[in-house]
Amino acid sequence: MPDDAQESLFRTWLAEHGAAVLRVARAYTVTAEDRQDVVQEILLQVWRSLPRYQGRASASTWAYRVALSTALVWRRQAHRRQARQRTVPVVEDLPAPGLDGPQRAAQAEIIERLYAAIRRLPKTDAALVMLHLDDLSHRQIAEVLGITENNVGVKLNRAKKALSALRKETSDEPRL
Amino acid sequence: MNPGSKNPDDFKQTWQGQPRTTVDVDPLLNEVRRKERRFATEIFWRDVREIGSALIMAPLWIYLGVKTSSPWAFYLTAPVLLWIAVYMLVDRKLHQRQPSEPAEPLRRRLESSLAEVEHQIKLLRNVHWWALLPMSITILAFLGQSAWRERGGGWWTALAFSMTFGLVLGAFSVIYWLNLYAVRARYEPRRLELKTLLMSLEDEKPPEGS
Repeated sequence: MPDDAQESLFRTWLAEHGAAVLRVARAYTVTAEDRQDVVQEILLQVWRSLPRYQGRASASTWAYRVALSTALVWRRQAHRRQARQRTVPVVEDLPAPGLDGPQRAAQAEIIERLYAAIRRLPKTDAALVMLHLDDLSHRQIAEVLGITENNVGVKLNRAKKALSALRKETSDEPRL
Repeated sequence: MNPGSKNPDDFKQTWQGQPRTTVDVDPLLNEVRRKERRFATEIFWRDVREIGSALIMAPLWIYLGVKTSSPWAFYLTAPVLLWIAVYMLVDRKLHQRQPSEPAEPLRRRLESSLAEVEHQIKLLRNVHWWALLPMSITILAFLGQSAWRERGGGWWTALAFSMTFGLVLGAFSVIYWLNLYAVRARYEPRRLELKTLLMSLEDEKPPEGS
């Protein structure tokens, strides 16, 4: 595939699925440096694999497959990263209109606590919960993870209970 | 309403209403391209280091043998060096040239990553069979032949032969230990991690009463 065509495809893909990549990276890392490393690693895999995407899986299923399979097997390579990695600026836009300052702060805190609880789950449970929160159907989740739909249902119920328990441990959260 | 007591399903809206995050694409693309080039360079130099050195050493060994008028046993090491290079080339062709496809379902990706790690462990644990033992045998043959030719030196020759062979064995033991260390420190934890992830994707029975 010509480089220009690949770049154009990559840009379009990033505009549609970049948010999913960032969510996955945030769920599996604690520090901003690690998050950036994971994002770059996922996007590198996307860059390599995108020309081979043949539409057999839906675009969002494909995006989550690449993001999750990269994030789950990612390992920190501190010495290499510090020596060679450059900073790629990540800009956060304002949240959806309609929220004032305190509401926005409260929402940000709830989201951060949600991520904190997700990070404490086993890695595959974290993936299940994230896919569920992103509104993927059981069938789509099964396609991403490579397990049966029944298994998705069973595991998801257990993971949700575990997440609720983890959240109750920190139930002094701000009210919405 | 206290969010701590909410069902995770209730957070879908909040989750999906996360601040939209945008990435500055141009520097990111440059970084991705740079990483791609670096990856290709790393793979190239790894191959040069591991396979190229053995391939270069074989003719160099023969050249050294001719230059120093060495006995025939000296030349036995050259085919062993070639064997090591060919073994690594074939192994790489069969295993590492099939990178796991990141767009596979997670379970299949984990299985292929686990297979890669297990193969690497096997390769390093067996390094004495495919590399160190053949090298030791040819070096022992060369030293034995040299010692036989110098047998007039008596015990001194025997001592020199034993010490040289001891040094060679010591060097090979260090190489073997380094390989085992890499297995213990790097690959075994990785294997365990991948196995744990795979096990967490195995079928589960629904809880009683559900």
